[in-house]
Amino acid sequence: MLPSAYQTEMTDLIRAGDDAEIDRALIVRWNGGDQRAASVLVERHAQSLTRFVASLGVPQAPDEIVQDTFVKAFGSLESFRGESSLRAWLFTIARRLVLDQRRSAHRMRSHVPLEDAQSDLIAPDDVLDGVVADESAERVRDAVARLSATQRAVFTLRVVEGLSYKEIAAVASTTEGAARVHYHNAMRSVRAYLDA
Amino acid sequence: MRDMTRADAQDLLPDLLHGRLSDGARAEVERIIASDPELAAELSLLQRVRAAHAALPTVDMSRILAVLPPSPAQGRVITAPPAVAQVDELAARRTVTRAPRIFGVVRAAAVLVLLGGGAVIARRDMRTPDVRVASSAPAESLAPIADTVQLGLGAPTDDLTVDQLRALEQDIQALDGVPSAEPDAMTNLADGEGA
Repeated sequence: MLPSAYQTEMTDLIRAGDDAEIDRALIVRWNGGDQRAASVLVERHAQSLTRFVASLGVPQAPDEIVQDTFVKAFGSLESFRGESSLRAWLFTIARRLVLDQRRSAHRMRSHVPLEDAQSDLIAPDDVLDGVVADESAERVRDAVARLSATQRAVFTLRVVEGLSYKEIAAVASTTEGAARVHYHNAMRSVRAYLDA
Repeated sequence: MRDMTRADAQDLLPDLLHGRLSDGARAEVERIIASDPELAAELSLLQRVRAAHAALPTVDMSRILAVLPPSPAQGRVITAPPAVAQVDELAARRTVTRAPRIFGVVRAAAVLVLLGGGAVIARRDMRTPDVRVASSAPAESLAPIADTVQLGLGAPTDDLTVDQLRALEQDIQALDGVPSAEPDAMTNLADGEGA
């Protein structure tokens, strides 16, 4: 539990600026030796990271990917230049970790084309198996799960996490224009699935 | 500034959903949605998508925090306190600046030793009684020369001050006869410098 004075200070900081500014201020604090700033940063981003990783579909608990993401991020946070938002940077690391994990699993299984492995990435079995009649939350998740890997990542980042196209482009290693196209294509696919 | 189009409004629906629009932009998007049932349906769908992904397992923050590296500032304190770093830096500077001065003095000493050795050889050639005295000199007369050889060979010279080296140089200059073993020291000195 954070000390109340520190919590108050953090609350004031969070009220004062936008997300990117708050993150930058916390990074400066952490770089200066304030370990508690790490707690605040983790609290600010762990939930959305977990949500994002879970939406990508990983064989193991998303927590491990999220944990590795933070370890990697904090390991090089001193050199974080702030060219993108911290949030986008964290999502980028998480996405790469998921892809690495999938590639690793693919190598273990062998002779499965990479495209198929990436399809696995976006289609967790528990979601695909659970087809229900109505448009419940599960059916909505099912619709998203059927998107291609890139569409799914872009759509999730845009709709669930609220990232801008610029941030999404950085996370998904693409351009803003391409991210916009992926989003609209994903939107059409989800709507078509739910309307069927 | 151009008016917002339907396509613009559609593009901004997720931003509206997350409350990331300015007041003006939000009002404009909402105005377009109000007259476009298809966009309203799309916004509704986005809300459902967001809600469907909202309910996920909570994260164990303490587990993450337990494995995070310490902040760089803390790391620096542990691995290299400023005082130690300054000492190291000064030591490095001292080594760099002192080395040429020491080698200069040592070189001068070496030249003198060489001259002394040359004198011994010359005197030997002349077969004078002085040379025999010098070559059979007692141990105490060799002591400073032994120090000179040792000092000329390497690390121990680092511990000598310039004044000590100058005193040593004067001692060498004061020497008249040098035993026959002395030229060997020149060979060693040359090797030491070349290394």
